[in-house]
Formats: sequence, C-alpha cells, structure tokens
Amino acid sequence: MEEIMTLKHTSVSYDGKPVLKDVSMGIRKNRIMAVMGPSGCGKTTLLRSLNGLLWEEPGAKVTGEVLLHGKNIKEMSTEEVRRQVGLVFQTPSPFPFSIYKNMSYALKYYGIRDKNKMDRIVKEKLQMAGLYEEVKEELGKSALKLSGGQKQRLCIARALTVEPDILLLDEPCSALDVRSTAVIEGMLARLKETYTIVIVTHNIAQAKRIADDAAFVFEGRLVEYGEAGKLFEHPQKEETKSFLEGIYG
Amino acid sequence: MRRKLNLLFSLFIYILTALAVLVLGFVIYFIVKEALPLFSEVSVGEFLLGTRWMPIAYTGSVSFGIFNFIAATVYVSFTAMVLAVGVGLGASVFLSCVATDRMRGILYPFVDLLAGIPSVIYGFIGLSVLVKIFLKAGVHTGSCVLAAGILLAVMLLPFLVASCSETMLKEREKYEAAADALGISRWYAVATIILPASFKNILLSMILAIGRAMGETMAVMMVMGNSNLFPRLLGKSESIASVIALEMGTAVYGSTHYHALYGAGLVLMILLFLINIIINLVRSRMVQE
Amino acid sequence: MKWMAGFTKFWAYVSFGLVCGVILFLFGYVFYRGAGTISVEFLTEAPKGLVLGEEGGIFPAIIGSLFFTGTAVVLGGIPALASALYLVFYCQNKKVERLLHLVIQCISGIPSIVLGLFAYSFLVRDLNLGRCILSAGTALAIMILPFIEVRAEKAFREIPACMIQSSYALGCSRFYTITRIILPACRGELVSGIILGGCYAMGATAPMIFTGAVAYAAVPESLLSPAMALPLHLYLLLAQGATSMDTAYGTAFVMMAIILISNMLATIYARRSQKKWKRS
Repeated sequence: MEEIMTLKHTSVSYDGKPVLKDVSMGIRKNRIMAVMGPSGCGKTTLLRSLNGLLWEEPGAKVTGEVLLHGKNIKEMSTEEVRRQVGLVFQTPSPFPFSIYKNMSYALKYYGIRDKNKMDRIVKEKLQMAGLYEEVKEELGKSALKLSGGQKQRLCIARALTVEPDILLLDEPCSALDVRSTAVIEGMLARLKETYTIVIVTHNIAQAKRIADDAAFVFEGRLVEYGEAGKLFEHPQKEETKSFLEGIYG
Repeated sequence: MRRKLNLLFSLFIYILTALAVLVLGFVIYFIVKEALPLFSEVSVGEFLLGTRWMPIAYTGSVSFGIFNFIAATVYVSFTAMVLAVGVGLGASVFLSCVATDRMRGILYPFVDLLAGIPSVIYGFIGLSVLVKIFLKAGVHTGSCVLAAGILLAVMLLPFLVASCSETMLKEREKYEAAADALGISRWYAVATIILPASFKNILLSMILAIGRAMGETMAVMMVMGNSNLFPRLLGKSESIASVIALEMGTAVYGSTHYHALYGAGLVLMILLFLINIIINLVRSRMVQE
Repeated sequence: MKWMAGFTKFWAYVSFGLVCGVILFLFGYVFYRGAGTISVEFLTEAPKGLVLGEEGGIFPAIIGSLFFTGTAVVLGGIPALASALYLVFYCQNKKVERLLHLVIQCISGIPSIVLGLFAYSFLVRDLNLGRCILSAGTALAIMILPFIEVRAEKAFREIPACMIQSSYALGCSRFYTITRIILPACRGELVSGIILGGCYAMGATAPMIFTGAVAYAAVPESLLSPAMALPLHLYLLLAQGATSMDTAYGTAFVMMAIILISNMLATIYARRSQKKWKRS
C-alpha cells in the first residue's frame, strides 16, 4: 500500500534534551493511524515534526528525514508542507471571529476571492465535518459561542479548507464529552475516504474503535507499529502489552 | 506576492526593533558626548563631591560641584518611598485580599488615575495646598524637601499598589486553600503568610519606585525651594533634574555650564541604569530559584 | 497574635480609604477651583494681555499639546508595537529576548529631563531642527516607547498559543496571522495602551522645556515650528507669580478633564476585548 509520509530516523530535542529518538515509520494513504502512548512520551512532538510546526519553536532541533510524497519536507516551502499536512490541536482553538470568517481565513490567504467559490468550499467542508446542518442559519455567529464539540469540528473543517492530503489530530477529543467524541469519531471514519488521518490519543478504546494502523510511543521511542488489529491482539513488545493492559494509565 | 509582503513586514519589524535598541545607544552617546568636555576643566571628584555650584562668575570664580544635588535627589526619593510604602502596602492588601474580582475591575483603573495626573499638576496642587500648610506651620516660605517627598509619595502610589497587589494576589491564590483548610482566619493569613511571602517582590517594587522618584522633575522642582543646600526634611534643596530644567534655558551653548548640566544628566542616568540593572539581576535570580 | 490580624485589617482599610481620598481630593480640588474659569472663550481664544494668561484663553496650548502628543504617539507607538511583535512572534533566541527586555527597561529608566537634554543636543543642535514640535515630540516618543511596548507585549502574550499555531498550521504567514488575528484580537488593549501613552506624553513637561514648547506661540502650522503646550503653560503661569491664578486653575481643569476622559476611554476599550476566548 502507498506510503504518503515516511519518517526516517527522525529525532527531536528541545534545548539539547532529547524528546523523540530515532523514529522511522510510514503512514499509509486513506487510513487512520492512531499514535498511542502515555502522556509526555513525545507523541505530540512526533505529530508536530510532521508539518514543520517545530520550526516555529525556539530550542527545538529536528534531525533525520521526514518525507512527504517521497520528498524531504525541509526542501519544500513551509507553506507547501502545511498546506498538505493539516493539524488540529487538543484544545479547540477557533479564531475569535465568526464561523464563516474562520472557514474563509485560509482561503483568503491563498488568494481565493470569488465569493461563490468560497461559499461552496465553506459549505462543503462544514458538511464533511458534520457541522453544516447545525450552523447553516448562523454562519455569522461568533465561533467562540459554539459548544466545545462544535468548536473542535469547526477546527477540523477549517483545517480541511486548504485541501490537505493528511490530517493530523492531537488528542482532539480529550476536552470533549462522550457524545461529542462519538460524533467526531464517526466523522473521521467518513473523512478517511478522502484524507489520510493521523490521530494522537492516549485513549486505547478510542484507538481500537477507529484506527486501521496503530503505533505505540514510549519515552521518546517508537516501540512498535503496524495494523491496528494485529497490534491490539498480539503486541510484539512487552511495553506495548503493559500499556494496553493499562499499566501506564 | 504574499511571500514578499511577509518578508517586507518581517524586515519592517526587525528594523524598528533595532531602532528601539539604537535609541538607547543614541541617548547615551549624546549625553556622554556633551558631558565629556566638562571633565577637561573639572575633575570627576570635584564634580561629584563638590558642594559649590557657581556656573557664572558673578562674584569670584566659577565652580561646578553637584554633591548637594545628588544628595537631594536620593534623599527626597527615599523620603517619598518611605512615605508611600506604608499606605501603598495597605492599599495593596485591600485590593488583593478584600476586594472581589468585580471591585478590582473598577478599583484598579481608579487607582491608576493617579499615574495619569501630570507631574506639573502635582506641583501645582503642592504649591497651592501643601506649601501653604507648611508655611502656616512655620516653615520659612513653605517650600521644603518634605513637601516634595509627600507629592512624590502620592505619585509613586499607583506603581507600588499595582505591582504589590499583583504579587499578593498570586501568593493568596497559592496559599488560600491551605490556610482555609487549617481554619486560619483570613486576616491572620494575610499578616503571617501572604505578606512575608510577597516580601522579595515588594522590595523590588520599592527599589523601582525609588528609581521613578529620582527621575521626576516638575513636581519636585515646584515645591522644593531650589537652593543648593544639603537636604534636610524641612529645609530647601534642589534635585539634579531641577537644576537641569531650571538652568538649561539660560546656559550658553557649548559653555562649561552647558556641559556641566549634561554631566549632571549623565550622573542621573547612570544612577537609574544601576537601579534597573540591580532589579534585573535580582529578578533573574528569583526566577532561577 | 490576634492583634496582628486586627491590625492588618485596620491598616488595609485605612490605607485604601486614604488612597481613594487623595484621588477624590486631587480631582475635586482642581475641578472645583477651575470650573469658574472654563468658558467657550477660554477654550477657543489665544492668551491676551500684557502679562501671560491675564486675559484670553488657552486655545493654542490645547492644539499645541495635541501636536506634541500626536507626534509622540506616532514616533513612539510604531517602534513600540514592532518590538512587542518581535519579542512575542519573531524572537527565537532567549538571550536576545532577555537583552531586549533589559534595553527596554533601561529606556524606561531614562529620566524625562535627560531625554530633553538628548533631544536638545541631537535634534535641536546637531540636526539643526531648532526648537520645534518634532524635536520635543521625539523626546516624548522615546519616553512612551517602553510604556506602550510593555502593555502591547502583555496583550500579545495573553493570546492562546494554540490559536496562533492553528494559523501557522494552515500555512499562513506571520504577517497574515498578525494582521488578521493578533492585532484585531488585541485591539482593545492596544488602543487603551496608546491612549494612556498619549496622556503620559501630554502631561510631561520636562522633555519639552528647551526642545520645542514655548511661552507664547500661535497655533502651529507645521511640525517644524515651536508651539505652546498645556503643562508648560501652567508651569509658566505659576512661575510668574500670583497674577494669573484663575487661568492656571482653568488650565489645570482642562488637563485633568482630558486625563479623566482618556482614562475612562482606555478602561472601556481594554475591557471590551478582554479575553473573549477565555470564557469557554
């Protein structure tokens, strides 16, 4: 199966302190990969290394290669990388303006001025995120007034407006209640037909529900990764087994 | 296009930031440049420690000694700080431990009004109220160091209150739950926990306040009597800033008098830089702890 | 040890009452004594009479003060905002950041009278601008630069990091992020910081005494002409003795009214944008 992104010996350190050690793995097209691990294990850093967000952080140093469609992202422009690799954060972070303006924010940046085209994309992406029906009457409403789950779906829809190939999600449900979580999980299952999804989670149940592939990160190392079914049923490594049994919580 | 715009903007930001740094260099350069010629005529020791300030030879020889001015500047600033700190701390306790969030929303801007009042107005009110009171109390002409100290103390209050109450609020949030759990009364907790815990930051604010007071010109100049005397609480005196403000208009460009005024400015500036550097060192130490 | 609690309580209430009393007294006194002088003529006419301020109004001083303040806000505000943006969004090096903070702290530590000396030597003399609004305005600009920078930096730092990173993650540049998200989100605090900085510049006398403000001048026509200014006018009225006390109280009234209104505006503005995103 086609690997859309490949990490080759990627290591990350902050101010000389290693956070991610020599990670090599592939991310396969149109699948959901769940990256699991106890908090502080480096899984968020792993995610951030995928779209160059670490370049913004003072003190962060990345070595090794991250390939996107076979091309090293360091040789691409920042804009190009981020356009192809979307990222949604743990805390829902809508911009402090209306729903519509949140959605058109990046579109305007990329030079789309045609109102009809913009309306169409906004509607399409909101539908994909399953938010359109709920907000179609009030697109001018401040995004800050939405509920937590709605905010997070808006952020996902917003990330989709730039037509990424890959969508990275950093514990998107950790701040949400059970129902909102279920809605988002359902949405992700639909989205994988069009996009490739990498989701960081420390929630094993969630990973089991949605993941096609799974990876386990522990103390900055990629312990093992592969098909989700296999990894959950027959973990190869002792650490993975302990984690799945809930020892690291 | 958008990439160029971004680059242009970054450039703009870099240049203006560099400008802000350059400004400091520029100020120092020009003050030093204008002050240096003085020291070919007057020795540093004579300038700093001399008490005779006779810029023009009306009677006898000229002389440039700013010791009394330095002493007055430091003296009046300390007086002001001592006067301000009692009230300032009390008010900070009130704002951080009595007032509710909503009250604070109104009271902070209210206290900040004091910071907005121009110093010339402080001087004006000082002249028309304080100096008259001192005159009635028997102080000759009413102008004195204490009057300037009181005015300065009021001017320092908003800065002291803002920084101290912020510190106390943080300390209170840290300890409140524990104190409540132990059943300690609120006021007892304030007196025995919050105030001691805020001590270091309060000390820093006090040093900063002295710095502010030393740079103040108008209010001090208007009520301190302005004569070259060693400062006494109820006597007249003159601060460095006052000498500059009063005499700069009449000093002949390029004369020794002119350079001496820049020399006085340099001394004042160095005093303030020292204070700021000390504060910075102490603060970074505290962060490390 | 119970007395300590009681004493602290007493001390806090009395101190705060004293502070409030002083504030009310200062404004009340000036407004009470100055109200009689205020009239349309006083606000719109130039000073007349043989002795300064004996008759006539303070119109040129009001306009002059606006010119000084405007110059200071433009010249000081822009670099202040730029360095705040640099510190929060561009600076990747902790050492540079610390150095810049020290520089800004030192600028704020320069006494305003020394800034006057600087402007006199550099602008009035060396650049041969003469005593003019631009010379004095520059000194005032340096004075308010750290004042505005500190407030702007605080406002920028309050924006949640994930909001900014969300914008970066969409591939948007810093420029776009700053102009579309940061500045609008902080507009209230920025406007309020600039208003307060302007007030600070308007009330300052020391930097302009020998660099641009004069005892008498017509309404200024350009930034290269000298002008009257409210605080210096007040000072000169007092310095010449008791001949024009009414005008002095009137001038003080106008300044205090400007301060009061500006502070209220600044508070309202700052509150309007206060942490909308923190509600959730």
